Amino acid sequence: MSQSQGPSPFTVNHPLNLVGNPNVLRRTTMARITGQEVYTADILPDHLGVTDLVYMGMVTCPYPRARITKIDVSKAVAAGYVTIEPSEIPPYSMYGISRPYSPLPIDGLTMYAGQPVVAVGAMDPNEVRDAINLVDVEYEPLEYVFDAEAALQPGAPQLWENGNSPAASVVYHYTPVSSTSNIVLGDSATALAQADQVVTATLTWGLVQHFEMEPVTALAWWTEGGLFLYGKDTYVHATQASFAGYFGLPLADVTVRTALGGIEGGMVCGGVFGNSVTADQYVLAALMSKKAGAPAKYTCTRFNNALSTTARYPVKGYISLGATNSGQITGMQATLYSNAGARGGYTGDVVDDLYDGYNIPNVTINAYTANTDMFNNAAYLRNVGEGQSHFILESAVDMLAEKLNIDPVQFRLNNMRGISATGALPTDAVSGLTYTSFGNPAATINASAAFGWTAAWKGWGVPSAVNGSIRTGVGMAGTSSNKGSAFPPTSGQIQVSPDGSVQVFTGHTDHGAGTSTTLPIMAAEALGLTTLTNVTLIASDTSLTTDSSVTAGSTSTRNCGPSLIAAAQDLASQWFPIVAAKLAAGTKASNLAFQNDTIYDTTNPSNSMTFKAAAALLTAPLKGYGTWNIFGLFANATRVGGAKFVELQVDTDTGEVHVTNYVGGLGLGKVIFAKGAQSQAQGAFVGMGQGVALYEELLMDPSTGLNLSGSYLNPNLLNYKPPTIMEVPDSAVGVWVEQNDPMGPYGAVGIGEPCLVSCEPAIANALSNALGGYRFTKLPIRREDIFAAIQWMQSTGKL
Amino acid sequence: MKPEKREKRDAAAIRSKANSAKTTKKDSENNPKQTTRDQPAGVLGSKMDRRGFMKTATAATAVVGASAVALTSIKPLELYTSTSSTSSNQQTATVDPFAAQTVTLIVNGASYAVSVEPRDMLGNVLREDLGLIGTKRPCNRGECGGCAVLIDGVVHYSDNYPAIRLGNGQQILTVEAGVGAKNPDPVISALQQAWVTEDAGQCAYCAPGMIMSAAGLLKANANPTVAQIKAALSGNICRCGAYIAIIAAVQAAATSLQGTG
Repeated sequence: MSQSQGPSPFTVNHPLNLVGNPNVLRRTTMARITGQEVYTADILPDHLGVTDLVYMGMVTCPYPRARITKIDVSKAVAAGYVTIEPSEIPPYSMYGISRPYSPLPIDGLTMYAGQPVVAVGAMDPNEVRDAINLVDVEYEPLEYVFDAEAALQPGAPQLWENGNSPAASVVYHYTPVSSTSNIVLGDSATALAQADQVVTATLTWGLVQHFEMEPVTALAWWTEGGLFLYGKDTYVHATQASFAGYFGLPLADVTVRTALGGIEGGMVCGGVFGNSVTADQYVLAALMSKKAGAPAKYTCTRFNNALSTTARYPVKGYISLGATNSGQITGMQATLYSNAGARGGYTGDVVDDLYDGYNIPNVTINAYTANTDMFNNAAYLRNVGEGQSHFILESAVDMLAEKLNIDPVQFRLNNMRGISATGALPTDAVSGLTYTSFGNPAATINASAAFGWTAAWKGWGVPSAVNGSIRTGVGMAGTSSNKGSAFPPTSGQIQVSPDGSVQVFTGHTDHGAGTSTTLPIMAAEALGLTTLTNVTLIASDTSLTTDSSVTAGSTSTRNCGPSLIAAAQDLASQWFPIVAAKLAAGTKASNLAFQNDTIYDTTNPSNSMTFKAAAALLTAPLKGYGTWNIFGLFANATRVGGAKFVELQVDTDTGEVHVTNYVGGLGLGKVIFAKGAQSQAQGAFVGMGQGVALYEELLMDPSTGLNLSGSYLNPNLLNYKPPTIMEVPDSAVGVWVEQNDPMGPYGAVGIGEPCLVSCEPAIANALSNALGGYRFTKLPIRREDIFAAIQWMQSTGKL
Repeated sequence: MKPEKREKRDAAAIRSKANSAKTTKKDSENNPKQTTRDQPAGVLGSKMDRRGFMKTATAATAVVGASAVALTSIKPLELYTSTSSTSSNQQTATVDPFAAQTVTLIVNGASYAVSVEPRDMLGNVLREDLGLIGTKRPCNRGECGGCAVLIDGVVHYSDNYPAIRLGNGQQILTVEAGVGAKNPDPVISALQQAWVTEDAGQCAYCAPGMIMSAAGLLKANANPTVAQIKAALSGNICRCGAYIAIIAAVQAAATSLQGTG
């Protein structure tokens, strides 16, 4: 294992051919769009070499909270179906969940509408619905609580014996965050009292579903060789450990694969964004397979996918922000209520983004997390709480700049933390860790220029243009995301075969973010290759790969890159002596290096051999191993900074919004997969930022006494509408400021999530600019909200 | 304890059984699903199970074309139309709306004889019976466009299309008709090539539906405007938000098709 003593796992010594090359295409697309690549939801009995597969479905609870008074599966069993009742679930403690764990109700109590109560299995997918219809369950509806703040008040219905405040204290990223997190810097009360201007606002964020396209799927299969799990899984190695523990099996007897895993060329996820398969689905599939004696597959229906997986949690934030007349922010007080659903515990990063993007000397943040009957489990839509916290913070910052009548870009630059004139990097205000890259202020300045801000901005509440009923407004919001760094452990391997083909091994999977191109680029570059033609990726399969931590938090690039570069170095240390022996007499292996599809002598470049010829010297495939210690958990802190700029048109006759221009500026390390990075920047805004800002909310009828009471109204893609092609902006681009991050492979940081962070407040701020300064404080800003605002502004003569 | 595996319910067999047992009328009215499901497998005769059937159909594909020897001839569906087809009250009453029929699907030029129930949607049959997983079922009910296919050149959401209606020679096309097929469809292939070069697929789970919707457009309109492209793809959802690249890919495919004449 080459590391620390050897060459840097972050870079190579030759000019880069593949890294950042705009001509490199995504490797996987053609297989995915011709039916060749098998996603988990696509697995058929034939793929497993079996004739029988049990298809699963769920009997779900229609009430947000209820006591189960009767479960009768006899008719379903008599008809030949297999069922799993709550009493059949072994008790278990699940990693990351502080509560007692079961995929079905515990102690006969349901905790959210749509919760699975009984699992059924049938041999024909058509009959799953028949089986569900044959199960009788009766409920006694109970009082429920949806609002996080209300759930923490005395007398609120209690979900758990020890109260609605999850006991979890999860230390994650740079800030220790628990269910009640308090951050105190300086004296915020005095600062706000002495500030020249203070804004106070309450901002809320609704319940948002991921609605990734491939439904969450788990397939379990008990064989003589142990338990095989196939899932839309982002961390197969953790799943393996969890289920070995759950069933009391040796680790080697549990094999977990994303889709069909690496060996068949699978491993793909059809979109994740924070919603992957969890123990909820795996446990039921595994128990079903055991009981039925055949592989069992549970593909969530869209209804199940909406209600019983995870959702991006609602946050309510009370914020006060004060500044001097000269435009320096002096103090902030914020109280946040995060709704973790029935079983969630961690809602962490909603906090640290509030204080670490700007220099705010006096800060008090009180953050509370509550369990409610609103939904299953808190999760993350392309970032952990950063979207919510940025909406709260960047709305308040905008309001304060307006109150001070300072240009919003200038106001942010005045207060933005960033790289100093001497190049010094900031430290985290609470933990004291020094960042290895930051992004701002360069990225904001760059994006502002690319957008043409100076020409577009006409002043607070003054639209850029008015043409009949069409008012054009511009707005922006700063981005300061703590994503894109690495999370241990990390490891990877590279194998060269005598025919010159290269196999890259990783425990990570590909959500669609481009991992299956980014990782081969980094590995092939380390081998001096100029094309990816002969490179394949073996991924996310516990029988073939090693633990590289979870594919989440925009970590793939930084987690996997250094270990792959180290693996290439380890490969070289085994391979170069063989090559040196065939080159000119006296060639030293230690002088050899990779470059331009050759292995050459750095002391005499003409003394060389092609990569292919060198591979042919091998009698068997040769494998290099790389691991990378992260030098302490948080020592590689990054903060991917930048700003999002939006120009949009509002039709005051209808309230319709159309985005005409979007520029997403980020300061990141070196771009690895250029086409993919641009696609992420565009897609985050077009497919999600716009949706969360303007369209998306999982709606409930909160009243009582109705059949729909407490139930969701739109758990489907017809009534919950993510943006379609009709909502495409006239223009949308990502612009980068590349900085060499010394702790990133080739200088890179991850950008998957930072691309989305603060898109929503940028849209909200642009809407305000178009509509004479009217402020929207709740997301999504629906058409009817906009139309009501227009009518109010017109009736009061402000528009 | 495996769930019981049943044969597809065969309409003729069920009718024959019903004719010999007069009580069936009442039972099937009360609970038609239960009645047919409870029949012993033997009653349904020697019909193969769907997996066995799938393998036969695949084997038959190799000799495709007009060699329909092994394939069941197409019979018009009698379901729901029984009153006009017979004057017998008893037979009217015993027509089981849930019974399966064998239909011959022509998918990407190959013929497959498949036993389908009325509730079998084409998307399910393509994937589960024919193994053509290129067609996706992201929402199972035609809300997101991921299941789009072409039937006689027209875009249809296969999750909403009863397969039992498709035994009359209709030509069904899926993404498997494009790159990699023996005689690739030029429009589908051009779109797939453009999808790669324009990076129009990220997770790509929506892409097959998008491509088939776009193929329907380009087959009807070789040179569409952006507004026409948007309208044609407005029923397809891409959560990765790749729409800008998707529009570019459709335009690039249209251009390349015009270039090749």
